[in-house]
Amino acid sequence: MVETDAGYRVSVAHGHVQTNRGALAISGAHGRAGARLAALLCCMVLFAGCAVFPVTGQPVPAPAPAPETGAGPELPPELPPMPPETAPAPQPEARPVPTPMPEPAPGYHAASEALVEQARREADLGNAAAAGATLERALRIDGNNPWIWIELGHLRLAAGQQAAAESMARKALSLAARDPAARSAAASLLQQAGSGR
Amino acid sequence: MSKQAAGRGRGTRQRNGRRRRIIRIVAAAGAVALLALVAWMAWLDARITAQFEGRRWDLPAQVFAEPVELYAGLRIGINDFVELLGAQGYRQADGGTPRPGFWWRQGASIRLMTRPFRFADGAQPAIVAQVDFTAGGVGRIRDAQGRELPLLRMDPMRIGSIFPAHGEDRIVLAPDEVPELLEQALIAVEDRRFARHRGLDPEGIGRAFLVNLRAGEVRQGGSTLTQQLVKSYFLDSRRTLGRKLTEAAMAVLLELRYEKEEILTAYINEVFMGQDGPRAVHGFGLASAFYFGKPLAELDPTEMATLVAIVRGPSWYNPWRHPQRVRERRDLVLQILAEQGVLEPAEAESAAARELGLRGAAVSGPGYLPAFLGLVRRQLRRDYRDEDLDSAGLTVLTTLDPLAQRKAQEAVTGGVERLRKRGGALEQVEGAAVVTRPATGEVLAIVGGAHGTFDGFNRALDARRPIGSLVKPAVYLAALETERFTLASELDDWPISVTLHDGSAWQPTNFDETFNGRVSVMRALAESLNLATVQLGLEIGIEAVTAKLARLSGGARPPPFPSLLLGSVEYPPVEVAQIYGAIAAGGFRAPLRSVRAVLDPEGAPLSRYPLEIEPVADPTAAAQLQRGLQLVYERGTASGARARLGGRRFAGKTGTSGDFRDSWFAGFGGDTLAVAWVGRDDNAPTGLTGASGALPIWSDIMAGLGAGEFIPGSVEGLVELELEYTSGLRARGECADTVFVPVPADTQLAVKPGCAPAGAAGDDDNPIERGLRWLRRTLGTE
Repeated sequence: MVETDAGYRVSVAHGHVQTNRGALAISGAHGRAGARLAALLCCMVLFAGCAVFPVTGQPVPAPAPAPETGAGPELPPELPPMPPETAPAPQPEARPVPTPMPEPAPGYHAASEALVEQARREADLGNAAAAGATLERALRIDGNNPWIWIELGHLRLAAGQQAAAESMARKALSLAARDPAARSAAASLLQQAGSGR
Repeated sequence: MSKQAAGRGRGTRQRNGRRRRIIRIVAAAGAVALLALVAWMAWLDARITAQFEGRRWDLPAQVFAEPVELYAGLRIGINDFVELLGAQGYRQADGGTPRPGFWWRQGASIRLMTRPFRFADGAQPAIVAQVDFTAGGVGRIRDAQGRELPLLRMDPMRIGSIFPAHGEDRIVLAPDEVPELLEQALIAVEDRRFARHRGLDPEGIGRAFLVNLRAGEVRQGGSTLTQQLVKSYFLDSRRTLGRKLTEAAMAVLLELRYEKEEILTAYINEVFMGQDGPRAVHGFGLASAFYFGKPLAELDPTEMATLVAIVRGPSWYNPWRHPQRVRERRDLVLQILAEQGVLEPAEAESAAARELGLRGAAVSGPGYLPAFLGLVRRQLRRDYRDEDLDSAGLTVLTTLDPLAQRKAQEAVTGGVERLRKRGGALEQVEGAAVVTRPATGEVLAIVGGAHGTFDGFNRALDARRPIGSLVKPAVYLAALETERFTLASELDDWPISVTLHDGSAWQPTNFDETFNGRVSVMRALAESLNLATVQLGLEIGIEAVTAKLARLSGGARPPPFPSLLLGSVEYPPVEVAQIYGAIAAGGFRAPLRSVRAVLDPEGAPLSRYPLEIEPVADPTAAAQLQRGLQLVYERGTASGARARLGGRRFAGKTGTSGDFRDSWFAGFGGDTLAVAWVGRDDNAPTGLTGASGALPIWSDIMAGLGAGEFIPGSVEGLVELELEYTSGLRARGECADTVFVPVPADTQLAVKPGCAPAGAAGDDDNPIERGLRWLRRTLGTE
């Protein structure tokens, strides 16, 4: 029991680290992408004939409210270093910019992130069922956010449901084509779920 | 003298002795009678107490909808939000201190106070919040202290109950949920001396007798509210003297044991208020939903008076059948209320000038949603006994979206009515719909027929019908998964003859009896070409298609007849929603759920039904299929719906079964999916295609939901290429009719002669192509 519990905590902590790293990495990339966007839109006018991409269909990120002050400091100070196999390797350009407060990842709703935070608190208190229900609320708001599926996968894994965790990981992978950090987090979850069997 | 005296004395003694004996006998008899009376009373007392206490706690499971979650960025306008608040049973505040369940508007903001509620994850207190709206929707949400809230979960709407087999349904109200006006009106009209009598009111009987004699009609009843309550407990219409005595005794006993307030609340929750098919409507809480489609607390004095009129005799005063009779009685009630000082005379007069204001047949209101509850009951019966659902006071938290349910019902009712007006075979047409959130398998709405409150044949769950061309996506998905086909592959749309097991020949035809020669996979799917689909299905094998259907539906494999390729296979709408849900969710099947959790009377979770998903199709193949289904909507058989949906892009498929018996459409947007079916219960041909029957209803549902359009996500291993629609050859828009579709990255495609797209010939160093690729990558379309 203790072992499982400890293992579970570690996996949750991993999720934590990766998520924040992911959010940072993405927000960094997004910052540049956003800066590029203006230039891009100029290009778009030039290439109007080729403008077949669903530009108008891009989900407009919700106006970002002030980041939750609790997001950063909630991490335990003595966080273990990221294990090498889960490090998001294939993203040389995406270095976390040293901003004190991580912004919510682009396209991901602040509301669903708040729910993910709440789910973690519930899981930490041992209420896995409530945490699962809270993550489902987050999915209702932002069902295409791979991080929520990864979080749910870790929850299932901690409950010993390898097959369910594996499905969640695959789902997250299918949604993470544009989020390398999420992709590697999902791959890591997939590996953990597979090795448990 | 002495003799005489002695004789008299003896006589007296003898008389006295006789008298004593008589007295003794009488006393004994009296004692026995008294004992019998006491025993009888005790028995009555036990009965009535058991009934009263039993009913007080004999609660059918209360069913709640999904709570509304508000968050910054939610796309809902302020007016739609006001409508939503109404659908949630929220009332507009008229000044005074904020109370739970009220809202008030300040410019572009709504302030509201939620009601406390016990969710599966714990109790949530009442929350005061201000929701600021911008042009795009919810701008931000703050609490009473001005702190920003990331999200606000409102209390869920009560949608009904799992009522027992004997058919009594009720929405039980707590004493503080009963409007004061209703209590006053009941007392004024039914039992003026309620506060003073002890269960019986001889004075009232006398007065009622006189009043009725003078009026020549029954204007007042003689029995007290307590007696009426007793009567309704035992539902015995025999009017014998014994019955009356029993009732009277029980009324007295009830008054001895319980407070007036308790008796009045029990009456308001218990009394018979109408019949709705197999369902007996009990209590004012449910009656309010049944007759007016809104919670009791929202009724105005006119509507309240109508209910007080109905309680006198729900079938005699059936407001739909006898509107004039009910109106007269209601106005009499209003007059009495004015006389008794409960209402201001002017108020009563203006109330009497109004229509009855009953809910329309189309609006099932928050009251009774038999189609959705049918699914809830089915899911719960796997884990709960009927008696637990009927009486254990359970709380059932469901996935129902009240607004989606309302819109879907309106769409089906309206669509079916339009079709019926065309006459002929369409006069008996029926409809059904299912709305889900495919990624998580949550069922948002179930429409079982054109009549929302009709608790009969639930077509959404039980009408197993051939799905026609709705089967084709399974054929194409199985083909794409072999990796031998892409959307650009070519198929033969030529006449074909298939020899069946019995030696006969099956010769399918296209819908318009023509054939098109070589066609691209995407065109064959978008235009629902039968011949090309049969060729494809036979090439990959019917077994592969049936296996795919089984995976997508989570059910059994259908029998592998060749005609299956054109949709001879039968599914009810709810299973079609399951199949298309797996496609909409990119190849992950989430088993459909209508129940999220069940709580015990103390609010502790008894069971939860958490999200499950299962990969059932290759995500790469699923993404290609999704694009193909988008083409159905953009330029294929469903393009007629585009105008209705304001140019937003959706994906879906039409279906028409043999001889035009069933008309189907299944389609999805960004996070919602709807399936619509139209056909006749006797399975006779209707002459409708999927596009002419079900598609308009589907469009109305999606428009009513304000469903977001379907935006394909980028999938690893696919690249987006510009291809000629009809042939699948690489081409440019200037010299061919092209579309952009995803194909596997390693696909080698031929180029349309004389119309080569820039860089098509492997010219990777072409700067324009490089720039374009960079653009696409950055925008995430690759």
